[in-house]
Amino acid sequence: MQKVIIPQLNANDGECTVQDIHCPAETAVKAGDLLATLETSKAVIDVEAEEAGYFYPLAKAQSELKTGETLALIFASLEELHAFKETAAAESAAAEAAVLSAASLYTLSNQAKAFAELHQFTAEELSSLNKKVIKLSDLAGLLEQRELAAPEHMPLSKNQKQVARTVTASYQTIPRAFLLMKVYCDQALAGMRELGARLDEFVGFGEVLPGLLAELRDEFPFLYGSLRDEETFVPAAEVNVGVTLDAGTGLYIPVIRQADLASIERVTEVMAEYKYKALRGSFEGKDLADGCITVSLNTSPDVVSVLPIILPGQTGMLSVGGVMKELALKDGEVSERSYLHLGLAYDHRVVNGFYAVAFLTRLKERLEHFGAALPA
Amino acid sequence: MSDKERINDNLRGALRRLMAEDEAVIVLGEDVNEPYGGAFKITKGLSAEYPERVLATPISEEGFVNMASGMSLMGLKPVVDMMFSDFTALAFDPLLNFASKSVTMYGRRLELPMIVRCANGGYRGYGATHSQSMQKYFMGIPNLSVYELSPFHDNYAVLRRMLEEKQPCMFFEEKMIYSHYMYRNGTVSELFGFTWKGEENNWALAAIEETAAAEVLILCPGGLAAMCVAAAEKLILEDEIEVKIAVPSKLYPCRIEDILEDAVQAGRILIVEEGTCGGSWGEGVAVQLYPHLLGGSGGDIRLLHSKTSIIPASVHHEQHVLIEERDIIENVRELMKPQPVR
Repeated sequence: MQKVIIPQLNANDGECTVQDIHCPAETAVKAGDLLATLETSKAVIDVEAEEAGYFYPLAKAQSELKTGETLALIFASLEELHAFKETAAAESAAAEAAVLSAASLYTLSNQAKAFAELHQFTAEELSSLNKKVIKLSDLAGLLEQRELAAPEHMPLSKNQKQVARTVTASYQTIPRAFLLMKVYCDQALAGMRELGARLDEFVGFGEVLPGLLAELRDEFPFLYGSLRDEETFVPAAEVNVGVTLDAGTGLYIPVIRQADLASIERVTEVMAEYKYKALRGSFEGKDLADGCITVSLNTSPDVVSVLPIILPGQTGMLSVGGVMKELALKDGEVSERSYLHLGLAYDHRVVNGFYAVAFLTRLKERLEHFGAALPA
Repeated sequence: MSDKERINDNLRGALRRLMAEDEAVIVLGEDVNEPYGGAFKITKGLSAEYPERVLATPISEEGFVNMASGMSLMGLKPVVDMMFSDFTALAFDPLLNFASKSVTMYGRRLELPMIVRCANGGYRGYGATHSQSMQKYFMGIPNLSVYELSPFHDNYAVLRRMLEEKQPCMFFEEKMIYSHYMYRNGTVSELFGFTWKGEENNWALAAIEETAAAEVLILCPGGLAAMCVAAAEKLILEDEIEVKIAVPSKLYPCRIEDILEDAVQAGRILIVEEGTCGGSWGEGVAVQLYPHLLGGSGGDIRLLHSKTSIIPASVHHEQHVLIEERDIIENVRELMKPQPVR
């Protein structure tokens, strides 16, 4: 197939009028045959066939064409020409249908278009505005309408809105890294059960970890405090350990204050009180304030681990996964043992992997030997 | 059937109808005869239909305008074809000192109906002496009216109106728009429509239908009206700036009262003229508008002219001199910037 292109006819004219097309479509032409006459503002120019073939005009007489546009096609065979015609007809029908569906509706300003895409307004919604040009301000009403029309309106609770603000701030401001370790916990579980029986209270990782974390503060100060101005680390005045609690009434992070000074018995007592408050949603401000490191408890069965956020103003959060069992070889014997995943999300601006591994290794040792350390 | 009609066809049709209706109407100028039919084909076919009433003249602008003026005084209604409006300089003396003066110089008003059609303006690469916008040289002359071709105004009505003035009228025809289509039935484009304003529908006011009060009103003679509409379409879609465009058929004398309400409502006015600044139509209009805008919120007028330069022949240099769509867009954006408190 050969294209007959509109040539640059003179320095000034970028377009011309097709004065006449001299051959009907599908005529056999030979090189040198007169195909069409073009008229510019200055002259009339004849267009001749460069090669022999079957002629198929794309422009009509009296139409205007620009330099470089295709005036006509010349096909080597009639079959080729017919195949082209069929495709072209299908394409133009599709284009016409598209124009019909788009025409007479509306046009969106660029701002409105971006907003409409964001909220995925339908063509019905947009045409209901009955405007030729839809501006951003027109769409506010549409959004309101949609909210009113929505069958169920589910506003977030006050507590969840606070959670939303906190997690958003965390994700936006703290570049976080995460480390995950296995902790073998048969001994610790036995120790917790024993202590729980003695105190007639539930003793779990939430009760045990605050004390263990407090013991590591002097060795790993950078995980107990906050980063100021991206340049200075400020150690916390007290080792206040937050523990996540969600009794189904919303997520709370109450704080065990001065965990370094509190006995495991005292921590257990405070945690029992906090669980009660979590159920009632009756925390007071001071219960939730001033944490310097946090433990995220996710000990439900089969939870492998969670990747916690880091609370703004802190540099690390631990996560405790569910207890699992595995088979282990010990002195050539297969035995069953329990383990869990202990994770540490840390602010990478303050702490690096080496530090985090050292910290988590020390914590793991202490946790694994928890039962042994208990006074009888 | 499509009712699309090109401006040149509309103008040619208007001339033909006038000649058919009124035997006093004659056409004269350079190269107006068949087969050439005028440099821009506006008189094509007329000499075949009315060989006695279409007069091809020598290259003699001063002579044939003087002659047309005399014919008019003697009862004919000449329509003079000025091949390029730049050549009106050669006919300035008969227009200023004979035709316009004769109307009221002899104790009682004499009728001197005459139209001088001038192919005007640039954008075609015709160079410094064939591309000028000559309107401003004819402003403020008693008994001489100035009109401009527009895609809004039907040319039969416009030519009729000029002849009914019974005094010489200049008709400036932007060459660039001859091949454009007329706006019909209140429709300009997919977005814009138009309505009429003022006596004898002198002003066409283009706007998006739902725009009650525009933020910017553009005043522009017909030659660049389509460019202003294209700019306004970009401005609503890209900046959400609502623009109306007021296009007069008759430039001088100009009744701004007809569009005053829209001007005051918008507060911000952009006057767009292809010609150079300095004693122009737009400057006169701005002076008339200022007192009405003072005290309004954000009252401001900007004038946009082509650069004070001769017009280069090469198209890509010409673009740097003549007003382009983006100049209009930039000027509207400037108008929309918050004004310092004065």
